[in-house]
Order: sequence, then structure tokens, then C-alpha cells
Amino acid sequence: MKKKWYDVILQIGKPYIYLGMFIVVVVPFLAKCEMQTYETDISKTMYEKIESIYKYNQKNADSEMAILFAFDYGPSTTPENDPMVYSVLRHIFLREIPLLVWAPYVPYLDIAETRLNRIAKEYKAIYGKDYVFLGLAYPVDAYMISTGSDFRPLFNTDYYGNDVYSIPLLSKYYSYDNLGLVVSITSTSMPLFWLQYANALFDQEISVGTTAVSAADFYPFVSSGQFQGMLAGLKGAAEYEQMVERLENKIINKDIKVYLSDLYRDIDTSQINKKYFEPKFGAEEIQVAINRRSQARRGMSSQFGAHIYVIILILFGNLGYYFKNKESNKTTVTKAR
Amino acid sequence: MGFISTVFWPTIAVILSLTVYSFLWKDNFLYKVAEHLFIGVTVGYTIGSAWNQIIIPKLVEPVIRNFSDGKYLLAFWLIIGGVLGMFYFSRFSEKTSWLSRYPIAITVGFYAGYSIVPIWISYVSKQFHATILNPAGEPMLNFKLFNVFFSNPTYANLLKALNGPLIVIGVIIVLIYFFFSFKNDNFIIKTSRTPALVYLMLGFGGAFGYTFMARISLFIGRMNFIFSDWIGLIKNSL
Amino acid sequence: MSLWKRRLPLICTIVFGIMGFILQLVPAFKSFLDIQNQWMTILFGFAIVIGVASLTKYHFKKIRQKPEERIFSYITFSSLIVMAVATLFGMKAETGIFNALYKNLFDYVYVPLDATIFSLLAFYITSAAFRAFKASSWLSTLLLFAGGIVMLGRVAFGPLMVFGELTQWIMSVPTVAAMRGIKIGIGLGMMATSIKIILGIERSFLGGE
Repeated sequence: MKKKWYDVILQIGKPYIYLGMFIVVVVPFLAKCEMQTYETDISKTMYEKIESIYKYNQKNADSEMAILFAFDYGPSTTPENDPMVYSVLRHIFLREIPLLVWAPYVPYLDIAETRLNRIAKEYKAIYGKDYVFLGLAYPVDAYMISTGSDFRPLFNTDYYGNDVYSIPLLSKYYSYDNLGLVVSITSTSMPLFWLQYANALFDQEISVGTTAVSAADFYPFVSSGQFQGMLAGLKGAAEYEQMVERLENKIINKDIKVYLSDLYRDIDTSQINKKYFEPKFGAEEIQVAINRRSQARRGMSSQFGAHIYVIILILFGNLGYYFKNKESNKTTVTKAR
Repeated sequence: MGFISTVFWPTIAVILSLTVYSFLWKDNFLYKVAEHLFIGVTVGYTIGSAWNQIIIPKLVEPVIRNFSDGKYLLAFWLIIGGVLGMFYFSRFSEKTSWLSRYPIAITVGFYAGYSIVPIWISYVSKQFHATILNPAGEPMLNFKLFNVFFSNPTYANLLKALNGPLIVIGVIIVLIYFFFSFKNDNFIIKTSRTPALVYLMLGFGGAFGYTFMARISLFIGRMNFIFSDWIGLIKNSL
Repeated sequence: MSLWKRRLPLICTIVFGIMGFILQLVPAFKSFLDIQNQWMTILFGFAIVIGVASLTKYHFKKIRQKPEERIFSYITFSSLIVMAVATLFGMKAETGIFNALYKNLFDYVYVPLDATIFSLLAFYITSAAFRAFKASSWLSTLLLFAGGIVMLGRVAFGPLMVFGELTQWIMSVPTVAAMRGIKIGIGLGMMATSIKIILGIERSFLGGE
């Protein structure tokens, strides 16, 4: 029997579907397309929240608020979470808000350490004075609860083994009392723990950057104001990237390439502890830093291709299914006669 | 030599990634090797890092410090924690594995007790509160917004007036749907079933769209590694 | 029901459960709560052993029972040992061969494998969407439409912006209502389970006899 057109469509082999997906993702990549995206209210809320902490700190120099940044994601979701981390950290360092960082599981630690120091280096942030990496907060429940009073006895030392009581930043910031915001960038249900322990018990404000998988789950909490804004998936990251880029252009006001290559040129780098980062920028590193500034937006162009591709696939699948059904109904009716 | 040292490990990463993708064509020996390598490396990493990040800094060092500070009772309490934790090792043998019930019982019990009130606040009371008042403190069933719409009939004003009531109705009927999903002839329950399903289908559809986006992002990330990081590295090193 | 194997663990659950509940409610016990948190960290730290134990047991069994697949179990064990040694001696070191090995194995073996295996889902979801996402009833058609609109709306620009606005509405009105109903249900369910645990009614987490 001759195959009908819909049979051909419905029987396309998996490898061909996969090959199509590969092509639509890779081509925009190789063509170096970069996509501007519209900015949603929930991303703007998060941006404005961090701006409000900056404004508060400007007015109250002696009682500044800090941000606790939780690296709640592991290696498997770095493509979605990394661009969020980069742009939010850049925002925090640009606004010189004191920053505390922790990670709840062991595999997240190395991810957190490299990303934190990478961005700190771009803004000449000093470890212990501008930011601290506390290290592992496992089990996270215990750490969230103890931050209600003082988290230092639980940590004993920071990630690098420095005594927590000897770090200048931690003499001021060790509980929710002077944390303006908790930012959780995540691929897990960690924000729900933050809700239960930090928000419900201590009225701590929380902002979330999540993989798109969990975003729908978190919408009720954004809408109720329990989360102060949310970055949802790669698009959320791309939106934040745009907002921070505008801010960075305003504050730094010169070409990023020039800014980075001049950053450590005329200062005495012997005072900077090289344990955290090497205080100089090579040409290759500058290029990577510039690429990083548009990582999410470059991804969005491939994302566009993939979404259109799948919508077309679904459409063809349904058309084939519809005509096949129609045909088989017709045959049954004829046979019945 | 310099070329090899900078390119060697990233190339291993690319080869491993491609090996994993070979599974898409069909299951094969190389994919299985990569899969088992991954399991081994993950567990090895967990063992090493648990020692470095938990056992030493959270148990050994605090016990030593508390002893030297003269806080014997506290040190002793931490040691009891350590001993109870070691009961997990009983899992290696079928005969002794019941010992691991002790640490499990304690942790599950403690956090179950601790989390009752926080769960009530964050999942139930604040969510109900938000169904009555929005974060700005205005009522969700704000009929004045309809007056605004009638005096200035635009789409935006219509949506503004409708959104609050739509959420309130949606939450109520979805709750009714879940709590009375068994066969029930009550008029309200019967008639609210279809609209509840409409809400749920729209919600799940949205969730599917987001999930699809997330999965594609992961693949884009890997392609980014191969086509921009790795190829860039090769170009620069050559 | 034996005392040591079942009754005593159950008593531990009840005692610590009630302790947790009281520590949460009574602020006067704050300093004890801090100590208790420190204690729980240690207990949790050892829980990792469970994963290691079940994996080792599984592969030992496989080596014994399936000789043709033995090679994979050897690969698992040898990579486990190499990574464990590299992490044990290299994680805290700042230089040296173990540190270099640890860093490279983490960055170029562990991370890419984890990310790539997870990214296979991109292909599966595409193929599943093509084969299974069918408009067979009016409710599934609705799901299909919502999914399609959101997919388009999340990458919208220029003339497609109408989908962007529709997406924002779908996510902030029907999705919020549906998910909120589900979340309230989950919250009540979690509370009920917690109460059952601390009263000793729910015992399944202790395993069989």
C-alpha cells in the first residue's frame, strides 16, 4: 500500500528530529546572533529591590544593609543559572553593596567560588571587606534557622579556612537583622525553604532567580509578594543582563575593554591577596569577560530557533494525526456499510 | 607542551560530551563508559568533599576547639552527634542496617516538628492572604476598578478589573476540585469541575512552555562550551 | 516489635519532633536551638554515606551476577577511587599535583558529564512534544494552545509581542490561581504529614522490619 503524506510525517525517525534541533540551535550560535528581549515586571521588581538597598545604604552610611547570595544550583544547570549569577553579582558589586555568599551542597561550592571571584575581580572588590564566601551551608535548614540569631558558630571558618570572627565584614553582618535581601539563584526547590525559614519566621525579603522548570511553581509566591521579583530561566537572565548593562554603561561610562585593561594597571597590587584572584587582565580574559556580558542574549537567539522549530513540529504532528484519524474513521464507516 | 597542557583537559570534556550525545543515535559501549565514569566521579567527589567540608570543619575542629576552651559538655554533645552519624555506616551490611534508623529518626523528627508552623505561614496563610489582598494592600475583589473601566473603557482597564476576581475564583474552584475530586453530586462541586480544569490546563500549558525553554537552554549551554569556548581555545593556542 | 530496632527509633522521632516544634515556638530556647543546629549539621553530614553504600552494594552485586557488564563496574570503582583521592588531598591544597588533578577532573570531567547528560532532556522533550502533544479533546487543545503561546511569548519580539503579552497574562492570572490552589493543598498535606510523624503515626521513613 502506498504511504500517505501524514504517515511519512508521523513516522519521522527520532535521529532526524534531533538533527533538526541541533541545526536550529547551532546556526544562530555560529552566526553570533544576539537577541534583545522585552523586560517583564517580575524581573524589574528584583532589579528595583537591589536598587532600593543601594539607595538606603547611600542615606544610612553607618547602618548599611548587606545581601546574602545563595548559590543554590549545581553543574547540570549552569547554562541557565550562570548568566543570572553574573548579572546580579555585577549589579551588587557596581552598587558596592556588602555581599555574603554561601552554597548549600558540596558540588555547588566550586561553581560558586569561581564565579564569585571572577566577577569580584572585575570591580576590584576586596575579600573580607566587600564580600565573603562562607562556604558550605549543609543542611541548609540549620543555617537558615541559625541566621535568625547568628550563623557564625555554625560556619567556624569561611570557605578558605579564615576564622569567621577575624573577617571584618562578618563582625557586622551575621543575621537577618541587617540583611536587606536574600538572593537565591537556583535549580532546586531551595527558594521554598527560604520562604519557610527566612521569610515566614524572620520576615526576610527574598528574590529568586530560577530555572524555567520551577518558574511556574513559584509564580504564586511572586504574585503574593513573598518573593521580591523573580528571574525565570534564560529569558529572565537576558532581561537582567540588559538592565545591568545600562547601569554599567552609566556608572563606568567607558568601553569595557579599556576599563578592564586599565583596572589594575596603575595601582599597587602587592596589597591584594592573590589567593582569591590574580589582579591583572590578559587579552583573552578580557574577551571572555566581554562575551560573558551577553551570554544569555546570545543563548536567546538559539532559543528562538528551537521554539519555532518545536511549534512547527507540534503543528505537523497534529495535522498528520488529524488527517490520519479522519481517514481511518472514513474506512471504518465504509467497512461498516 | 604548552599547547597540550591548555588544550588537553578541555578536549577531554568535549570528547566526553560528544560521547554522551552519541546515545541519541543509539545506546553504545562508549556512552556506557561515560555514564559509569560519571557515577564513579560523582560518588568519589562526594566522599572527598564530605570529609573536607563537613567532617573536619563541622565536627573535628569544633570538638577540639570546645575542649581547649573548657566547654566539655558541648564537645561531648557534638561527639554524640558524630557517633550517631556514624550509624549510617551500618548501611553497608544488611544485618546492621537498622542502626541507621536512629540518625534518620532524629533528623526527620526534628525538622518535621520545626517546620509545621513555617509551612502553615508560607504555604497556607500568606497564600490565602494574597488571595484577599494584593501585596500593595488593595482588595483582590476591587469592584471600583470596574467603575474605572466603565468611565474609560480600554482593554487594559478591563483586564485590570478582571484579573483580581479571576484569581480569586480560580483559587477557590481549584481547591474545591482537589478536595472533592471523588464523585460528588453537589451542584457547586459539579459545576466548578470544568472551569477548574480550564485553569489547570492553562497553568500546566504555561508550565510546559517554561519547561521546554529550560531543557533547550541546557543544550544551548553545551553548544556554547563546544562552539565558542573550546573552538576559541584551539584557535588561540594554535 | 523489637525495642532497639523499632520502638526506640520511633521514640527518638517523637521526642525530637516535639523538641523541634517547641524550639520553633518558644524564643527563650534560642541558644539551645543554635547548639541543636550545630548538632544536626554533623548528623546530616554522615547521611551522604547512604548514597555511597547503596552504589557500592549495587555494583558489587552486578560484578558477581553479570560478568559481561563487569567492565563498567570496574570503571565506576576506579574513577570513584581516583576522584576520591584527588578530592581528599587536592580540595584544600592550593597547589600541587592533587590540586591540579582535582580541579581538572571537576571542571573537565564531572561538570561536562553532569551538564551533558542532563541536556539530553532537550532532545527527549522535543521528540515527546512531536509525538504526544496532541489535540485529542478540547481540554488538551487548551493545554496545547497555552503551551504554544508561552513558548512563542518567551522569545517574542517585534510583531510577535502580542504573544509576549498573552504569556504574561497566562502566567500571572490562570497559572497563579491554579498553582496557588495546588500549593495550598500541598502545604496542608505537608503539615498533616509532619504532625503524623511527630505523633508516631507515620512510620514509613523508618523502613521495614
